[in-house]
Amino acid sequence: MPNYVSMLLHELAEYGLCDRHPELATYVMLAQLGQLSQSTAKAVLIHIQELIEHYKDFPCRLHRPPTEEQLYVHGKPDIRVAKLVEGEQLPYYLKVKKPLHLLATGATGGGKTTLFRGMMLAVEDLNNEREQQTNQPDRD
Amino acid sequence: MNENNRPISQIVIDKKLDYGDIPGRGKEGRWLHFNIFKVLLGLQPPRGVIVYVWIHIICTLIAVRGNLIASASTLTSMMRTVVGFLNRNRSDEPIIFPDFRLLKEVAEFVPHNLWAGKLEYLKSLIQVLAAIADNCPYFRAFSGLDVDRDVISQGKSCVIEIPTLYPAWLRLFVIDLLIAQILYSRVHRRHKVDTTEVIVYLDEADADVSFISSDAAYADAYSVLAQLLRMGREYGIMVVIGTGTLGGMSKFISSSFQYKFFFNISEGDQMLQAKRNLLLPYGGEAMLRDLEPGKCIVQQTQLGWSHPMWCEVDYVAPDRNRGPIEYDSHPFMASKCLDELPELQSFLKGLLAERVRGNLRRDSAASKYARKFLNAAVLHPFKPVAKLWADVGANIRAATQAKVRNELETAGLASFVSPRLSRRKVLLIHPKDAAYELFGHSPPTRKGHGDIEHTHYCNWINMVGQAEGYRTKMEALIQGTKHLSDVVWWVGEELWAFEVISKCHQNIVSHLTASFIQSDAVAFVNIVAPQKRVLDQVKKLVHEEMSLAPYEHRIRYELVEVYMERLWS
Repeated sequence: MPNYVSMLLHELAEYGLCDRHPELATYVMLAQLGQLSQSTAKAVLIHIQELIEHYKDFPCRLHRPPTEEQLYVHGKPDIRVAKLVEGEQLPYYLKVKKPLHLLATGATGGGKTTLFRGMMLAVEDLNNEREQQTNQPDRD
Repeated sequence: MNENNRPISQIVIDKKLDYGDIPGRGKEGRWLHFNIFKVLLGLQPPRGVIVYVWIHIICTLIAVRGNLIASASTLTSMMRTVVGFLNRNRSDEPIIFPDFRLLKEVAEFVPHNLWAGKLEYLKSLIQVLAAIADNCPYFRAFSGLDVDRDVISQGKSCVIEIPTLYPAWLRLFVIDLLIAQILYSRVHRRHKVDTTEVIVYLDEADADVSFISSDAAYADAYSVLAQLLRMGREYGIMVVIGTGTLGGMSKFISSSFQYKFFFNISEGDQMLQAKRNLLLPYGGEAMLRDLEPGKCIVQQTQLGWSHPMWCEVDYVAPDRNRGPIEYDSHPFMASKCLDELPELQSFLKGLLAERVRGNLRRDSAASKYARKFLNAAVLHPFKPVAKLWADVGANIRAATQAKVRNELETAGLASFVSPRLSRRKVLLIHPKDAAYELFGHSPPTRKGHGDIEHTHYCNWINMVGQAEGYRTKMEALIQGTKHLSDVVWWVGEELWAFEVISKCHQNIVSHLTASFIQSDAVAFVNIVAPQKRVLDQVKKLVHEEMSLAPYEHRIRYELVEVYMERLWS
């Protein structure tokens, strides 16, 4: 009879599934404590088979996506330039009011120029917004 | 608008014309659009930067990008002199700097030792200056585009297109220059702020951020771009860099980013490099290869969540199908060439004379004799060199004589020729104007035409005539013709004309025809040449010309040597 617990631990490690799906980390902990049964491990293996097949085709070793509170600990930054692909598909903002340098790298056609063009137009909108605020007469 | 609410200036250095539509999409009047081939770039300092500091900065940038090593100090010394001269009467006006053309002309105008220790240094420098001076009209300004003055201080943004800028080092230099204008102006004004005031975009920056063009090129491994990244934040400058590769990037630069966007990477080494950069776990690099266009891995630091995230950038349509563009202009002051600046020429000549005087005051054996020898040459400019050395006195070794000759030639005080007179070679000197000025003499007004040898021979004949008690004249117009005879003597009632041959004798027949057929004023024509072989050739030519047959008895053939010996035997 195959050792399903070992197989499960191997698959979870091979595809880094615990990082991206924290609920699976519970099974690792149980296995380490010797509390995970073969039948449970087999059921989990069947349950995550589709996930494994997906990661075989499209490997992703990233940590899980953040929540909005985790991503914007210091409040939402200034300009939107992208959105997260996974999780809640949060919009991704850049902080440009503080000088933080940015590097975009990758093969041609990847999207660097699109990113920069988006940034330029977003900063331009920010400038317009600031100008409008400054030109508004005081209400009191 | 207070300082915190002023618009952020966006400076886009556009190498492949990707951002040409942005000025049109921004608020009217906020954006400027420049093209490198339609602007005038100057080397003048940005506001706040002390001139002598900027001279060192700009000369270092030229030297680094032009791959000059020893010539950098030569350029600095030259730049300091010319900048001082150009701004001497401009106390209340902005500082102007020479352009590459003027620098090149100045470098060529005076002998090398005014600026450089070795001729090779100046040659390399001239080569680099010429590459820009001759081919880059957009550098023809004493004061040109200043990004800080013309864009940022006006609260504006701009796109500066620099497509197909060659040679490649010039592209690096132009980018360095633009960045230096932005950064050093702020640093020298101590313009420290907490908010972003300027965003500099530099796409396709592989060459600019590479180890070779950054760390290896600068003596302190600290390029202007690296400085912008390291110091810019304090001065309100955000830098946005786009590259195709990560490998080979300067460590100073690669370690300076708070936001990192990794788009599709298909090359193995680059994938591993990106994996290390993002600290991805084992096998994580494979994802970079599979990223679709527009999707990327983003990592931010100093902002809370620092794990890499999978993102898709917002789509903005690219710039396509644009018609003719109207570019913006900027304040400038066009440059002048050296021919248009006679005062600068006089200034440089004066500087040279002063330098040479200083050199000749030194106690080296060569300089001591050089001064004596040159003084003798100025007093007797047509005396053969051997006779001049005899005048200087003492037995001076041949090696010292050679050193003196070299010193005078290098200093641009004299030139030498060594023609063959009959069977021996005779060294002749031609003191230049600077030599006369050195000893407080005016250069001779009439020196005779032609090369140095020709001038000497004519003067010798003239001097012999005077010694014989005849009235003489050099370059005398033969009565009834437009022909100038080299020398004429009035011997009693007769006019003797002298035609001197130093190298070319093909036109002697026309001279004789003018003297005998077109005019009846000349009694005799003496043809004087340095060698018998030449005289024989001339005789043959004359003999073959039938129209001159009646006058052959009035033509005499003489060797130059005869006149030299009559003067200094």
